[in-house]
Amino acid sequence: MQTMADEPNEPAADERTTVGSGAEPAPRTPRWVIALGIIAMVLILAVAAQFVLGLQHEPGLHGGANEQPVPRIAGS
Amino acid sequence: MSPAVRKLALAIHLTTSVGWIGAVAGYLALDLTVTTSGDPSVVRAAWVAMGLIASWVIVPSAVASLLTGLVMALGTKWGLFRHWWVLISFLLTVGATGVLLSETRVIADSASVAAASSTTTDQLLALPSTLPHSVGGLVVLLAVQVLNIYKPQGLTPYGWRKLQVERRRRDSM
Repeated sequence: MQTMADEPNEPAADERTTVGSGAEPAPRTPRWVIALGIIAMVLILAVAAQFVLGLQHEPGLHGGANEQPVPRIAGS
Repeated sequence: MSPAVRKLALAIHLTTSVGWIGAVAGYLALDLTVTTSGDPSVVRAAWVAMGLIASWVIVPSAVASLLTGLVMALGTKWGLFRHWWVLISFLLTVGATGVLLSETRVIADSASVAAASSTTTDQLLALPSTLPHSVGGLVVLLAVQVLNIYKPQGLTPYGWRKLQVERRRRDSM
């Protein structure tokens, strides 16, 4: 997190939605939050798939030119 | 929180947050060197530098950034759970710090192996790269940076309820 120097604004008019007649306007989840949520879900599923497939997530798994996990040195 | 304390917390927060990104960028350059270089002396020096940067710059910056971010969120009207951008920044920062702390042990182990005079060239060049984590970490930090600069609008349901309570209280006065 970086700056909180500015005071927060109240939500913009296009950010509100009315649920039911006479109800208080309720906040609608912004599209950018939904997009980030989808990206997060995809990443979580990718990591889960790695575990299910029995792949270990450790340094050297994705990196390097040979794309092969590099064996750890005994005792390190 | 008084204005003087808030400014101090903000100054520390800005310094440590931007410093964290800069340190990770420097670490990434060394990580790329380790991954691509075949020169044992260069790889050895890079690993030792990576161990030092991770332990003495990146981890302290990350912890300080997280703590001062919490102070700034909880000590101002922004709150921690009221705005989506604050909440998501917080979650990303916690995640990045968690991965960093678990990765630091691996980096320290590799750095000590690289520094040992008994380590052979084959062992040195076989040390596992941390490139995926350093690239991923930098992407996450830049995403948090963008969120903090643009502060995209959007109240969480909790933030909305708090706003309604404050409005009613203000109207009744």
